[in-house]
Amino acid sequence: MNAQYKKGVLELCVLSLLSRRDRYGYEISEYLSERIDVADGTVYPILRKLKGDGLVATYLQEESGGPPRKYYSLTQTGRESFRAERAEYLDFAKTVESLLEDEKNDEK
Amino acid sequence: MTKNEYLAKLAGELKKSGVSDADDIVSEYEQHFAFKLADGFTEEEIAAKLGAPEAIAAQFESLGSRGSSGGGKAGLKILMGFCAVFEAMFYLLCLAWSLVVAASAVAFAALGVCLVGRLNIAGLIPSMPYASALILGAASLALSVFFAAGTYYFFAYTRQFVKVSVHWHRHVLSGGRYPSIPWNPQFSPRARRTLRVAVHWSVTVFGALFVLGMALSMILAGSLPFWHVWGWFVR
Repeated sequence: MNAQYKKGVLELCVLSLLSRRDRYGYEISEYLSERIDVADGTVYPILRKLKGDGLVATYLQEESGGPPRKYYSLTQTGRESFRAERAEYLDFAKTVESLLEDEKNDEK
Repeated sequence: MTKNEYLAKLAGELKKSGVSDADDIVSEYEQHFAFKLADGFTEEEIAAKLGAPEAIAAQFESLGSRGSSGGGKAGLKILMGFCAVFEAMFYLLCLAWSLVVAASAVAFAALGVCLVGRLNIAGLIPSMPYASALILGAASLALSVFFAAGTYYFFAYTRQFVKVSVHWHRHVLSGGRYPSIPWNPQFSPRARRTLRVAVHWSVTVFGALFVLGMALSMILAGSLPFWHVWGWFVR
């Protein structure tokens, strides 16, 4: 799959994961790389971009037996943006899917 | 590539491309190594799965270079400030209109209560038979419901306009990072239904009662311009 295309969708995936609860970077990276074929390292630039855009905020939390972890959480803007983009994406995906299905039927 | 080699390479690439907080970024990758090592992966495996440090650094670099051209930004800020003045004037107008509608709702409610409850404060209500007062009072109360729904609408719109405006300013000044939000307020389906019912019924009831009240007054006074018979508008 086209890398640029995937990056845009990954942003949405990260927002979605954070909309459920706060997570630390490694958690997000693991979750996504288990399911989507991306290099582990690509999630961190995405998190940084989302932070720069004001969609997520970070805070440090002490963990027993280890250095403090950097947690990411959605901001109010992030939440609104996620809601809008999610709806937009689902709509888009539905259209593409029905278009591709049509094509398959035409070939029969 | 070992962990130290990878991190050193990444730090070098980030500094070369002038990314700020390189240390912060590197520490995030260092943590990634720590987690993965705890899961039993070797440093080489982890480094390979992360992707080339050059590619990672390039991704960070592409973030930083956006939207930071000093001169253009100052000009844009002045322009946006100029826009904001006009926007603020428009929103003040919207707010004033909402207040007018709200005041109308209160006034009609007060009139309705006075007519129905036979209250004649400071002799402001002209004399009429109670049957007429009751029906016209009820009509006035219905009209007040209509204006109350209007007040809700106008305030919601004004609020949403301001929200969109603020959002748009942030969007432009940040170099196009925020998605647009709708202009019309997003009522819940239930609120929308309630408002629609309130508006339909209040207008219908007002219309019917007003006509009925006028007709009844004409019959009771025995004259089309019943207000002359009851001595209204003369002091």
